Amino acid sequence: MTLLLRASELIGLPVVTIDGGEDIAEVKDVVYGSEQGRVLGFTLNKRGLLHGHRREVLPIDQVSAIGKDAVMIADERSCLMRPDEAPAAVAEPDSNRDVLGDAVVTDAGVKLGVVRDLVLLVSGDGEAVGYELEREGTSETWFIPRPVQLAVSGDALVVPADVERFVRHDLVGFGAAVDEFRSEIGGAD
Amino acid sequence: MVTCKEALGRPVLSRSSAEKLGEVRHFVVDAGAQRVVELVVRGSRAEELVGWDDITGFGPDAVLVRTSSALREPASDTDKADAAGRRDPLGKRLLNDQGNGAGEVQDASFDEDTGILRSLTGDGVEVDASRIRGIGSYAVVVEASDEARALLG
Repeated sequence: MTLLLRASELIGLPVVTIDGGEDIAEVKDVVYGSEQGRVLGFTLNKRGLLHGHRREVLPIDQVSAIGKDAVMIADERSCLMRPDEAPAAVAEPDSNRDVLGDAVVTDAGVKLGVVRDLVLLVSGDGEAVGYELEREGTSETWFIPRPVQLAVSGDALVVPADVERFVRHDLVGFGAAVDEFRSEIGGAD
Repeated sequence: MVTCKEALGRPVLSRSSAEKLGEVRHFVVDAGAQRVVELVVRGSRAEELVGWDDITGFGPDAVLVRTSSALREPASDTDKADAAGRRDPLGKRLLNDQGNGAGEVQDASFDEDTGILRSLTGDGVEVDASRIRGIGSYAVVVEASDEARALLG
């Protein structure tokens, strides 16, 4: 069984130290690398009532686990990084590399929708296993697995036409579709 | 074996003078050693700390400490945080190291002779104390069970 979550559900989650049990920050935004197909890191807010922006960022290789209730790290001192020591992709995210709002078109020329959210494995390493799509101007959404071969620009994502067979309308059923897609087509590794 | 919930509010008496010094208010648990290392006692004035080694008897009706001078006012930042319950597992979120929660810590059981913690109870789960990774003001972090890992594939 594969448990999935949307990247947007991570916003506001506490960042908790494993050995300290302290909530040292919370997720402000998820930095996604569309070429890598994975979360590159997080920008942070302070915890508490006033929760202002925190300068430090959290690169994905400093993350121990991304769960449904918290993002876990080993400790505050070594895991949070000042913007000048963190990878530039996380410290200064390029909005062009953010796939949200991009159109998804199959290589057969069919537009499947626009990207509304990323789908991640619960307790995974930040890899996106799929995308949640919507038709512009409607609230209807559905999910497609993320193929490994993918042409990405700031405007559109081109996916194999086969992806259409694995479209699911709920996140629960989508877990099985991702597994199936990967074994048949060879999705993202 | 006694549970934190049972022991909460239990009177704390001086063994040498028999005077009541206060009541058990919090437990200070060392996550690495998995044992209760201090108690926070609420007296007439404020919260004070007493080390486990100064406890001569942890009984069903009272906790006896060597003398009233065994109680100390919180001095360091660590002491102050402990006096406010930072390392008390009760009521904290129960999180595994994979970032998934199981509600709040409802209770914890420990050996009244040694202070060694045996288990934690969350919402419908019991976790062996040997799996504790960290205790802080936000959460008790425990190692994910094999079942939890298997479920995550």
